[in-house]
Amino acid sequence: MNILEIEEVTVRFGGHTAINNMSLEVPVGTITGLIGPNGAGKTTLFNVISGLLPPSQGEVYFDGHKITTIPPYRRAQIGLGRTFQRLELFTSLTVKDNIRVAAEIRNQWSLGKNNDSRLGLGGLTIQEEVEKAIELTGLAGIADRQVTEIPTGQARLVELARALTLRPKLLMLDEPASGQDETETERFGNLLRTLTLNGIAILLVEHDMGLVMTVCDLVHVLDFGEIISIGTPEEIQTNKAVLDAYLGSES
Amino acid sequence: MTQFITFTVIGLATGAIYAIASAGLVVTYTTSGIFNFSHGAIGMFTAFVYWQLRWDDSWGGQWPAPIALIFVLLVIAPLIGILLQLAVMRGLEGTSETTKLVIPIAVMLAFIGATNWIWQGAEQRIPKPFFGRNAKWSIGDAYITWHQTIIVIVAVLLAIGLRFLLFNTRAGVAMRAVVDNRELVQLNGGRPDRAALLSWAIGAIMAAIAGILISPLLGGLGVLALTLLVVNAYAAAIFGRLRNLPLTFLGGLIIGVSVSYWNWLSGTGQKWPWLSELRTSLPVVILFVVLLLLPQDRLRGGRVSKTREWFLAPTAGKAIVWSGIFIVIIAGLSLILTLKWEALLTRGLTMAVIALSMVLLTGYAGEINLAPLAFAGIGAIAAFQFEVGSGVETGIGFATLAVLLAVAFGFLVFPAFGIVGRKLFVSIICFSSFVLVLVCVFDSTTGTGIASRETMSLTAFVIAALVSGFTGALVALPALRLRGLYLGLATFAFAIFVDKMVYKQRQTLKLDVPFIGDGEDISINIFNNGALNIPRPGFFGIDFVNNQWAMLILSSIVFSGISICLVVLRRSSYGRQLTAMKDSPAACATLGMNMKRLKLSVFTLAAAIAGFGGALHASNLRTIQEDYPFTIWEGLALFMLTVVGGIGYVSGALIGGLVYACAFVVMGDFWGKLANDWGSFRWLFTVLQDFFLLLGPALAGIGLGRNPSGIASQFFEGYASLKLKANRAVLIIGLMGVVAVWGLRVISVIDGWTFLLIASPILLLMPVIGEANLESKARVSESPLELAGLDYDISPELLQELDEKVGIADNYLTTRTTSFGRRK
Amino acid sequence: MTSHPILSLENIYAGYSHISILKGVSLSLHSGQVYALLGPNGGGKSTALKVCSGQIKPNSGELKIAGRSMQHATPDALARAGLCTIPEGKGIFPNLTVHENLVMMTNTGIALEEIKTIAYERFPQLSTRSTQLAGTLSGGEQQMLSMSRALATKPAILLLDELSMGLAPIIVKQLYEIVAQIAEEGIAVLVVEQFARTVLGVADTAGIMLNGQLLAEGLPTEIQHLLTSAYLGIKPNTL
Repeated sequence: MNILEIEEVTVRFGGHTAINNMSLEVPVGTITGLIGPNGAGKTTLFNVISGLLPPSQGEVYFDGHKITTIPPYRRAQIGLGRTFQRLELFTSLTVKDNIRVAAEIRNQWSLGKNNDSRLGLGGLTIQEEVEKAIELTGLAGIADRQVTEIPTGQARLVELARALTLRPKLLMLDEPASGQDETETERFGNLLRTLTLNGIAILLVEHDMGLVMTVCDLVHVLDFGEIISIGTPEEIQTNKAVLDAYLGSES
Repeated sequence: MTQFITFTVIGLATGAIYAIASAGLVVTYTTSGIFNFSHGAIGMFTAFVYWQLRWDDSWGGQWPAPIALIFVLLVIAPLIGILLQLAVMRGLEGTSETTKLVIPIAVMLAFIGATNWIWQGAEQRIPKPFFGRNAKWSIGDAYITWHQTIIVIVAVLLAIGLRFLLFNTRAGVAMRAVVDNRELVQLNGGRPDRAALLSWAIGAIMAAIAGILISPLLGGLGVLALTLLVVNAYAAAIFGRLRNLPLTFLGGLIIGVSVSYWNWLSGTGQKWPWLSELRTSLPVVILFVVLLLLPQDRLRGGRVSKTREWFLAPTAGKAIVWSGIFIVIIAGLSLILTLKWEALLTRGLTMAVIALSMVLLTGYAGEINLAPLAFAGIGAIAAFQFEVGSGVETGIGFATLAVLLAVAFGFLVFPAFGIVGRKLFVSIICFSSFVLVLVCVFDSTTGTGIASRETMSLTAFVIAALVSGFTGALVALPALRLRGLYLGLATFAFAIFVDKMVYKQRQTLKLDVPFIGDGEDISINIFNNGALNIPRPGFFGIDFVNNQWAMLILSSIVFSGISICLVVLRRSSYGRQLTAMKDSPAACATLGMNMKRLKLSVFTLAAAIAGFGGALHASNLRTIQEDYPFTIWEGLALFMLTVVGGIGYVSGALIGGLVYACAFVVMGDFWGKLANDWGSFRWLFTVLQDFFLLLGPALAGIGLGRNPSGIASQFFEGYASLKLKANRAVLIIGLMGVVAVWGLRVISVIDGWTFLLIASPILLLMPVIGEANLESKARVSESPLELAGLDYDISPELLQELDEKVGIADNYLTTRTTSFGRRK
Repeated sequence: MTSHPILSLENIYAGYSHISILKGVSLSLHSGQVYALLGPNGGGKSTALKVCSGQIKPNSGELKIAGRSMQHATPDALARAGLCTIPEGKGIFPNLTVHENLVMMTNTGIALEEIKTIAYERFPQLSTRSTQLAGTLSGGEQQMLSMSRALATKPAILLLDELSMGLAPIIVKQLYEIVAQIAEEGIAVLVVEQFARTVLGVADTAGIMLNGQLLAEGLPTEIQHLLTSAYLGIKPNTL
């Protein structure tokens, strides 16, 4: 079963086609990698899925519903979480408050909806949920620091923790490992694996090929706004089209 | 047909002026990214200069038109533009959106102040049209003056000239290139600064042309009227989306012609008396509508404000303690103040209450509102009409209306507050409605009616907050999509609209509330005859009418109370959500937040606070007039000074309110007193007095508005050093000094001025001495001070070592870093 | 090749605000040399180039041009001094005509007539489109227009950022032929390129950047074998 289906999406900026008639599926409980050279359309695709950018053509289906035209906040409410390549932290708040406000925002919109998505009623309180997210992402040591003071690698974890408080069905991570060192990246990979065990599907845009190759179940390679190849990490690493896209064609 | 031609020509002529002015605005905006709020004021100022050269009897005067024109347009105006860019605007690159708005506003107020200063006196200054009043020619029966003809010709020539400059000269191409890609211009070896300089010079020249052409169309030169006329052009610039010059020209013409046709249709405002002032406010109505129709920037990643503003939230406990201290200080001060100064201080505190609305809206939530005093004015009017409005049934009618408003208001707002807030809100609404009805029923059954009271009840203040809050919601509702500059302009338009349509309203509103009374239950003369006599408050059996002291203490308590509420709010879930929305709208959306609702609620709350404060301010003043104290100009000054004070802090609002209402009056008075005492230097002191009164606030804004965290944070930082053991002596001696001087004043050994002259330097120097003291101790050792730029986790051992090296046996560094983040 | 490098970075630390992207990068470039800086995205190639062009001020370390410290010079001063930078994407003004784009090049002190002669001679198809907005040109033509700057303004140093991005391989090949010609005239060329293979044929020296550091530097033939692993995810320490 697929949690996300993209059908023939096209995005044009003026005369430039950023995404060309692209279709893509993300199965439940898997990590799907999205790689490709700069300007291939990865972040644009993310913006289309999360609703920050309407596609020129095509449809987006999430969990069986067509979500092409609904606003970003409604998409988040039905279980679509994401992080940003260029950090979008709440810079005036501490690490903990960044996560806490996310939990509080969720409590806001789950008001009046089914109660099991609401914190503090039977299940975890906001406090507990925040602590759980902090523990999971390993941010306990810096929970009270201002987010402007922590290194980028950890700031990316804050964004992840924040997205996790949504209890998303699909998590979209935009270059989560950039700014992390090797050990951090390795730990991060393990964390992603743990998350999928809980049934979360992950769509991962990443330049750190080490991470992509170790955690992804399936990798999609984008170039010029099109998917040029799909395969397991091993297949991708030896695919000639992929090498050409990255290194330029051998002439 | 004759009329049609006449009004079309009038419309085209004024429209052409708007087009010229707005084209200048667009040129500066596109090349420098700064919306020049002072554009209108530059036009006004240069029109005064031109008048001086051409027609004044005492100085200048009688210059031939061509020479005066050349001098103003090719010397004065470009000089203004260039100096502005070099001295002020150039430094704004990379600053926050608020700063980019505040500094040009300060410049605008400076021009207004300077003009008032230079051209004092009530003398009539009447500029004449080109070729005189009677130079005209005709199409059929319709006459067209030469002045009108010239305006249209000039506009056409300027359009052609601008087109030539931008497309056919190297400098113009460079200006367009800067718009396209500033960085690439540099990589080409071009100098973007020069292009910006040129654009500011051109902008100022266009403003000057517009000012000179439009001034003869007014009866006589008026500082504010003239500024506002050029401000009308802003709508045209927005019509061109701040970048498209042909559309901007078209927008100018459309505005000019619509105003002219409206005048024709309405018989210059005679036909529909309610709308009589629409002829002057139509341009801002168009501005508001165009803003709403403008396609907005989408939410996008990578837009997080990278500005340095950084506001700390104090704890509720601290806020309560400081509020207590604050009230004690005010009470202590009141012992040594004469009635006049007590009244002045009250004015400052009530203004500070209004400024609190901006702390919530702009400081916490990052939404800009340039109309704080419009909401204050609406609150004051509502309270007045509730209390003093005519008609026996007015009270009941009002109460019903208020309940309806409250319900609507609560319906709009409560979902944003979470489950507790929802319950709280519903209960507040139910309770206040209940009280309202009770009061009204009681009043009407005792036969006195609620009307024509001598004093203002608590209910009236609640009404003020409700009506103003509801208006805030109404304004915010269509403007929810707007952010930053555009939201600023929309609220700016609203403030001018209120200035024109509400404060100048002379009609009587008659309403029939269903089920109550018979016929006209509400009969309100909105703004009597240009002045409202607002009663003083009267509740808890306290006499506020003849007791300024009680008024002062009441204001300080109200300020403290609302401040504490805001501090608590800031630290609540709601406050965190506001902060989140301010920091990253994109992240909020992807976390599921419906920002429209949050924005609406915070706008409503802020407007309610402003309305409440407005009623308090008005009732302290006892009289409000159509042109004081709630106009757009005063509102801009208050906004600017609150930013200077520190818009993220409640203490910033205090500084803003006090500086706005008191500081410059006190300084002006000081020089005035000196002028009286020292007759021989009278001229000097009078000059100083005028300088402080007229230019002080604006110059403070230009000078200090750039610090994004405001005076308040500097103040805290300075005083934080006094908390340390090493500085205890400084603190104690300083405070004792102040208390001693205060004591001397209480027993009348010294006069008020002496107190001020001794106490304020002590208070200002204490933190300076404290810091110097610490630094001198630190300098003794050899430890590099860079170590104190603490950016990493500090272990206790390291701290210990540092303390020893730096030579302070206290936890100075930890308190510094934990309360103010990185020092560097 | 002279002994003194015309451009050198010495132990540069640089980045955006407090985030350091470059962590101690040193490299040097001689007249007539083509230096290719390769590596996957996010490695710091573009940042290094922006330090050279003056667009990013290094937090520490030195930028030297002809032996003189230049890290405080503004980008426009460097450009007028003979440093030509073609930024990532198209280095043109899309809302200016081709002719006006050439006018902007005169800021370097070369007369417009001369620029026009050189540009239109090398790329005749540009002359037929001189009144067309540059943004409406095809990708290849846009890149030709930006390359005209490198040809016509006669710089001493040429910095190229991702020249091939979004272009068909055949055009990329043509562009690099031009780069080779420019280098033959004695101009030092620094090329930042993600598509490594295209540029290796032209370059005399190549460096691979990963995680803000220069991982390897040498003749193209020497480092070619490292490329695949650097791009497609074998950890650097296993190299």
